[in-house]
Amino acid sequence: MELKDKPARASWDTLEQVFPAEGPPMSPYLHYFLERSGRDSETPGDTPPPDSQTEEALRDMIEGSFGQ
Amino acid sequence: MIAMAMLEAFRQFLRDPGGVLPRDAINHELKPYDSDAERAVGLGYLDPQAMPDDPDKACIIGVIDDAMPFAHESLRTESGHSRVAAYWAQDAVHDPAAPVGGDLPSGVELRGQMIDALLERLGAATLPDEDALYRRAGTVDFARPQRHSAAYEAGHGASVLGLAARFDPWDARGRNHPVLAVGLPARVSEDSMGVLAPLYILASIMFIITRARRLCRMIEDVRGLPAHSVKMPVVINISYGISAGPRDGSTLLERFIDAVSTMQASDLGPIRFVLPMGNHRQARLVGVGRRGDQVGWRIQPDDLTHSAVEIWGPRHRNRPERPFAIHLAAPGMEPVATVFSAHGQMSLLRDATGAEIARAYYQSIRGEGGRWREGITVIAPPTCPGELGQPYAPPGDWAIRIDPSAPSGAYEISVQRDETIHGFHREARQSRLEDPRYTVREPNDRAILLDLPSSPGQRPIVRRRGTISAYAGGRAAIRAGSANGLARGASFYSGLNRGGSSGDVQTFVDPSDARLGTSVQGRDSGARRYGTGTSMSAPQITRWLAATLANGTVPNDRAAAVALADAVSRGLAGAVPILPSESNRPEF
Repeated sequence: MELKDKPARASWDTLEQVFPAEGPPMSPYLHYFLERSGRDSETPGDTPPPDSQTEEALRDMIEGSFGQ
Repeated sequence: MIAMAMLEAFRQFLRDPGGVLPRDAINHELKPYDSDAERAVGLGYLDPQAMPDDPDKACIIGVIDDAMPFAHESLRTESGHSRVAAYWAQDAVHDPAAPVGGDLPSGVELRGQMIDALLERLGAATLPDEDALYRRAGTVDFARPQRHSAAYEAGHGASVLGLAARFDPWDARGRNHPVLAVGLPARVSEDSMGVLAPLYILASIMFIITRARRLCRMIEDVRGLPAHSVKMPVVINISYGISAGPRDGSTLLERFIDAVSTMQASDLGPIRFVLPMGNHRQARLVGVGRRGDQVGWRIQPDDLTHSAVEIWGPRHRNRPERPFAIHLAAPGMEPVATVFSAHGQMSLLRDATGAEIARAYYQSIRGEGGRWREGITVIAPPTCPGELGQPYAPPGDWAIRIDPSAPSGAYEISVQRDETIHGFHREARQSRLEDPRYTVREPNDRAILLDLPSSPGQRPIVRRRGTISAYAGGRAAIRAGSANGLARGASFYSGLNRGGSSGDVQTFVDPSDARLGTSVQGRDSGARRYGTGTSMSAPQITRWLAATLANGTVPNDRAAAVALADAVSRGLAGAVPILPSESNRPEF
């Protein structure tokens, strides 16, 4: 068996701009999660719902909390 | 507005691509809030007999946690009515025909008078027991493909809710503390990294605020009081936390909590938050290094979840022109320096075969005082991937080195929480920092509770200081530490802030460091268990703060709240105040 006395090579891949160049802090975990979810969503039966209206509901709640 | 910014940051997740919510929980037919419903018989927030006699001496207790037993006896009045004005089970089956909750994005809303109807059936034995009540309400349903934490007898939410808001039914003080509670989706509680938690916590806070305002209006109606004259204050407990982040109040959740805490609505009292310090003082998750320093990062084998570490640099007056770099070495591989050039970039670390073994994200954000701060987040995929073909990271000791050319100053290194939460099945394994200079125990095997003094150059990078939860870095929330009765000081696990204090206020949670836990309620009336951790301290402080606000004393900021706690402290002079214990056991 050959003994390795040198560490194996590794390298950073090309840079990818994943968040807007300006703006509030974003969560890398969300980006990673979304990418993984996209991979997982190829599994039958695990596709996102067509329209959850979550955004509209939350906007209404924000209005209800602070808009009056 | 920060709430809108949070919404924007989570835009891609609003459609729930990760399946946090069961599909049948999602509301596809959104309706505006129906203010007529709250006046309808059986749909109001509270029965008049459960309302506070004097709303000026009342304070709403808000609790955001895992599944909560909204029908527990400790949340009923002597008349048998519910003190829970509204409970939102975010991942219960959504019924589009339900009379309330059509304005919510998911789940079920149960108002106090709806809970009263269930309790009446319980009393008449047409519902045989509390378990049947929760099944009837839709919060327990074993036919659905999800974690059934609402059925756990020793659930986290049951204990937290009890510590925050329990009163014996015959204790009239209970009516001065209406409860608004939100049960987070089980998958949010299961994920110790808190990846999606901020979105659901944001929605929960919104729910509590909107319902608190409506409850005030309802009390005005019932009592015949002038419009907008009832302005009950609200204390919100969030016994959740994570271990990695900038800890400087710059995250959206921290900024949102700070903003709400300083908000003064015209028709609602002040809103205050209580958060736990976290339980990771001894977990070796936090370190502080300088440029050129290196620390180990031990990633466990057989980890089905990803591992992560964040490195946040010193604060700068101006945005750094050139991003700092770290050198990352996987086990048996050579170190490689990151080459970021701008905010928002991501890069993959590949081994010699081209397979992804880690990734890094670079951010440059403007935080406290307008100062800039750089951060690199490294995420390693699971060491034991769930499926063939997915990326995996080699387990073992990785090395992280701050590039010698990085700007001078302190670089805070924090490993993200990644553990299996009791009762859930995520099969996570916690990674940690490794530093040969860090000492865990004394030669006599006693745990070392505080960072030891050391000479320059010999100081370990891994620290106990700075182990505060990364949700608790803002300016406003009261941070709760756990104390042990024997030492009259912080419990050994209770997180420390950068100054070395375990919280703003503490409560006794553990009799001693060798005997952990306080008696807390279980899901069903009469059930007890022992619970430990700062999650059990925060609701006790919430309870105290709610009583303080109900008495008309409003601490305007954190320092004022600490001063009030100090006046009644049972701790040692000059130390973090420890609130006197209040029995949370039912009296028979």
